[in-house]
Amino acid sequence: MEQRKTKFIPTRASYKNCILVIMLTMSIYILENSPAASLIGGTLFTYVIKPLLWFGVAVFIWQMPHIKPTAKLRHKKFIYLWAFIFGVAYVLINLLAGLLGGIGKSPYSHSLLGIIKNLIYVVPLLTGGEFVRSYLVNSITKKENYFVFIMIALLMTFTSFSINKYLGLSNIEGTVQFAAEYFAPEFSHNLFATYLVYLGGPSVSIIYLGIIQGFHWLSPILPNLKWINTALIGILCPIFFLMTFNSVYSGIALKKKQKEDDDILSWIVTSIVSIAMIWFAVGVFPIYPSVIVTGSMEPEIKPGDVILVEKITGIEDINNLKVNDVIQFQRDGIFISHRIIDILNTEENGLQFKTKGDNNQSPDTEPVKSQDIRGTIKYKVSKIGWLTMLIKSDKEISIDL
Amino acid sequence: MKKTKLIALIMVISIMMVGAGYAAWSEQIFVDTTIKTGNFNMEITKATVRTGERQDDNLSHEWHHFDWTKGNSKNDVTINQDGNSVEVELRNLYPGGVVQFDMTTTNNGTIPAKLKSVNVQYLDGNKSLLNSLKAKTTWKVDINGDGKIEPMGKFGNGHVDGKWHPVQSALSVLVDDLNNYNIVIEPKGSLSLGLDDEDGCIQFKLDENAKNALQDQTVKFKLTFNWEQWTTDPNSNPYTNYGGDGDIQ
Repeated sequence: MEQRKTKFIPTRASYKNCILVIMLTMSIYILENSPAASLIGGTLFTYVIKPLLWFGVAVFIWQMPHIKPTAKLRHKKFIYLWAFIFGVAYVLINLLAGLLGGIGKSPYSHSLLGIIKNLIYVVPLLTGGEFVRSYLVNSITKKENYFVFIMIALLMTFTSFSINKYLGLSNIEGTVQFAAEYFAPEFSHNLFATYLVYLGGPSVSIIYLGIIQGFHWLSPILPNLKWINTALIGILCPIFFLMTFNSVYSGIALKKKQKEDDDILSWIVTSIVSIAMIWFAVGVFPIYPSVIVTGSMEPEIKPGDVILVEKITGIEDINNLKVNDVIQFQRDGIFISHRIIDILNTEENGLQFKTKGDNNQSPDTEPVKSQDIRGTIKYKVSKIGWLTMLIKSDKEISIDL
Repeated sequence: MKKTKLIALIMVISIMMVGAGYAAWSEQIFVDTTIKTGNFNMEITKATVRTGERQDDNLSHEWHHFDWTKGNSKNDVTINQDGNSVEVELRNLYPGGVVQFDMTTTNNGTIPAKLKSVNVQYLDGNKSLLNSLKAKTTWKVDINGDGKIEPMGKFGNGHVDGKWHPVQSALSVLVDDLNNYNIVIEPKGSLSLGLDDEDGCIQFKLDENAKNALQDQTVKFKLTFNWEQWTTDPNSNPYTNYGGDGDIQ
């Protein structure tokens, strides 16, 4: 009897199936944001129908012929380990930031029922989403194609926010804050997750995102940071993880030289230092610099000196101001640093401060209102502001008088 | 590798630029709030003895029925001119004896306020008596001044922890409890220290184990309620930082 030879045909990428998967994802998103979801009922849709849909998507993709991820089987353990390390590192960095910037009580329920409900909501969404991601990226590209990675990350990011969130963005400030605090960090995570599924399939990104989501939904305390800090951590961490992992994986899989690791570390440090310097200069931190351009506070502060101003952040700071404090205040678009010589408190005008430059003959004509005070002068660095003075002409200078 | 660096560079530059926006906008927020500083006005509008019959501690004694307002009691409470502190004078307490009084603080300003701390300061009399005093508080709130007390189910039962503590600790527990429920008093809103349909109270009790030497003694102390401005900065609200639509438990 002639032995029948089994012929294995490698799975080919099916663009039709890719489009089908994208359509499925978009359909769930549209359904979620349509009046139909409200008609069904928020709780029923959120905790029953939506998880079932995503679970269905995961099963559907699982049984479809799919292309294997790029990394070799022998590297899988290594990739899992690093995904775990990055997930834990992100949580730790957030906790550390929370310790420094403030920790808040989690708004999510931590009763047994609450935890179960949240897991029912999160687990199918995460699993289905990562199966979609893995199927798309591994079907569309076999090479490290960042255009594809970015497009898939954008798709996943866009569908993770409700349409109402986009429609509610009415002004530039709100839009920038949304982009920085929510959209960009989500995109960064998605980009890194896309790279992870490209290498190791959905299970790798589920490990990474699962740790982060687990912390978010289950931890009784969460960092309660200013949105700029949330943006900083949320955007930079996954991007640096991507760079690091890219380098580490190249090292093990492609035997590239170790030199790149040092290169990345210095790159990361340079980036963080650059951001810190720019943020310091523009006034993100509680203390900011300001250049003195006139001699009204001589001999203590001379033209060309840079003062470090501690921001006034609340009523208590205003109430703590006393005579002889040097304050920086705003008047007609100009920042002025003069000394308090008297504190006025009238029923009509509230708390006001009479000020005078040390080198001036007479006090300033108008008292300073509380709301015009920017901060108190804490330190002075001599002569380092001369460059600013040279760059700007007298007419343009509105830095400090 | 070069591509990841390019992406990272774009992100880094974006963050730098967003920082400039943040600095400008946060300053604007600050200016907005400080303009209103003249209208920050939390005021104790009521501080009287409780004449109700509620006696959880099974203590039917004379201290329960003094009327602080009519001045016929041996005890006294005065609202100070600053509007955020009261002076309490207790006389002739005996071990186990309880005094309780109502207290309502109203937001007569235009910006929301949050209780930051309550300080106890000894003023006069027998300091040992103050040290031997225990206290507990109950509270309720009308957050927005619509005259309706917020449902207890929503904001807790107002019992705080129901235990007797040293006076300063009891008031710290009160502050923690209010902050746990994120209680912010809007303009015209009010905080009463009390339960159910009662106006509210702080109860003081002389420890049952106190020595008899503390009987017939007098002590005067000041309670200062420190309120802080609740900024309009949305980032200050811990419930807004976690994304989502707020309908997930």
